[in-house]
Amino acid sequence: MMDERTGSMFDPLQRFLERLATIMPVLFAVGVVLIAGLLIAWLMETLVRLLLRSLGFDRIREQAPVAEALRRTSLRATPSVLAGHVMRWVIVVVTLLAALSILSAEATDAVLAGLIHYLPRLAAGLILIVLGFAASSFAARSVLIWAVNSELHGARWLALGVRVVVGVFFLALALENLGFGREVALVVLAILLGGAVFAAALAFGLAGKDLAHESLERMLRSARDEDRDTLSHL
Amino acid sequence: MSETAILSDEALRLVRDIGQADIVVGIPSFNNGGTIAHVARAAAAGLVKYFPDRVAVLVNSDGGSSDGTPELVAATDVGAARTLLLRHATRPVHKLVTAYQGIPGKGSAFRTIFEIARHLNARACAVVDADLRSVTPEWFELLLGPVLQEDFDFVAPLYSRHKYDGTITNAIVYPLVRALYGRRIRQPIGGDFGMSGRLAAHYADQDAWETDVAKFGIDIWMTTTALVGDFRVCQAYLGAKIHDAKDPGAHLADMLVQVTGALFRQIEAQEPFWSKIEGSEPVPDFGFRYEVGLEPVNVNVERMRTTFRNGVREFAELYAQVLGPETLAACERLAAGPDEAFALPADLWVRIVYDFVIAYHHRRLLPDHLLRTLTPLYLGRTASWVNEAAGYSAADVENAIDQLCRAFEERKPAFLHAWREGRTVP
Repeated sequence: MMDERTGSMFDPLQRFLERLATIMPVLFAVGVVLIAGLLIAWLMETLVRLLLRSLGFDRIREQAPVAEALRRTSLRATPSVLAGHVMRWVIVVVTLLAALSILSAEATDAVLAGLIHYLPRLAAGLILIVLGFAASSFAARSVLIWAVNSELHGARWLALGVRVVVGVFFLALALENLGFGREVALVVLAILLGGAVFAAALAFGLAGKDLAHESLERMLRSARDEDRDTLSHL
Repeated sequence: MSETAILSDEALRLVRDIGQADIVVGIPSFNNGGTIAHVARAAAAGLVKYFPDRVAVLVNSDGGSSDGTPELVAATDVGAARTLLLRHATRPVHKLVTAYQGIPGKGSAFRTIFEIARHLNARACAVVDADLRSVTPEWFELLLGPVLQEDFDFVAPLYSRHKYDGTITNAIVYPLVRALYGRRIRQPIGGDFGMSGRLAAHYADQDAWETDVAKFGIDIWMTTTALVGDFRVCQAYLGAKIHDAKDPGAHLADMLVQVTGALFRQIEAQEPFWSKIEGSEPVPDFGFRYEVGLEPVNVNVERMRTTFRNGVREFAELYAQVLGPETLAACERLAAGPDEAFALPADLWVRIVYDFVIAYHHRRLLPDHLLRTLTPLYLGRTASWVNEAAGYSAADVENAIDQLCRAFEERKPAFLHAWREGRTVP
């Protein structure tokens, strides 16, 4: 009687230990892969950073478009450090996938299949966002410079408007590419464009009528010969 | 492009018919129907009057005018001026009217003229703008005489101008050329030049005709190329320069981009030459100086100050990448100050210009954006100059410009260090 009770009490513990004995090597393997992967990631990051720095890769910072992009994104790190970070995160992701494959091959396959299926869209979406950022910055700056040199009022707001419209246009393209809310993106764009025109009309017609009057008056004055500079700059 | 492709078949045939010439006078044109006949007649009269024994060719290099400009030159009787002169030409003035090939622009028109001068083995060549109203036969004696009689290679023009005119030349181009290249050529982008056949051939041989030089900036390119090539340089006083009013739609910012872009490119390319030069020296002058009546000039100083203030406020983020902290702070103080105290001093202007040259070289901003952001600062300097020069005589104006140039020269060593290290000028 006593033996039966003792046996039934230890059975679950025995099963647990058996299961643990089966899982432990797997967990150990996962741990080893994670630690090794993270070490390799750190090592490769350092190697890439030192190698690129010694090759003078950081000099690309001096080129206007790169300098401008780094400044706009508030990235203070040097290009070699950034490349090192990218290398580290790529290795970390590969390490995680390898660890996952040890735990469950099916889950890994499912995750990988999903990633591979979505990667082209994700890449295209990211490229569109980066392009949109560059295009909106360029357009906004061009408009700002033109507006100030043309003596227009509200140059900053005009540039901001152009930045928003161009940025939203590219964001809508990126979202559509990723498969999110196609209609929503288009509607947002239409609302923004229509809204901008409506707001400008209202501002000129109602709230900013004095400003509009002054601006138009100045435009007319500058178009008249008597108010025009006649000096030859060259 | 091969030499034969630079000249049209018709132009080549005419050149071969003429064979050889002593003088070539080139008039580049594009829709200058209102003035070109006068320029052609003045050139022909000058050639007949001052060089009657020389074989001369008048070349009109046209960029596809739609107002009949080439036809007007072709119809101009270059012999009619003889009735006004004491001497009669022993040789006729040939005319050659051709449409230039290549990239549309004044540079391509000049290239055609230089090629024709080379084909004709000319000893001297002169180029003048087609929109001139004040050109006289004497201009051609003054542009060609130093080449034919004194063996100079490059004759730059000297003009009498209103004290408010030519501010890009006076505030940027002349000081930079003088301080960096070491020669006091007062009108480096005057547009009317004389040159030896040797220099014309040198120009034609340069590998620049497929670049922006073909479109604009040919004047500063010619001047700096002559200086770097160690050609003998002088200048000739031509009197007042009055030309057709420019297109009112032409924007100052576009003009600044073209002029400063062309100059900054030359500075960048010719660093080995100018970096060794210290100080500056005058160049020989020709011509008889006299007082001329100048047309009054309208200047809206208030609008210039407003554009300066708007620019300093709105471009603060961009200027922070171009100007040194002290230079930017000085601009901001000036923008925030009252109208009565508005003065952009020479020293501050020198630092601004040098910082822009360095920013262009090190590509701190896209070149077009960078050069356009110079407009408000330039207008600030111009407004300041108009106030300063209000009571100046012609001599006072030249003294003040000379002082500005000296300030550029004094700061050149600091500029050179900053240029090499990619810093701003202290």
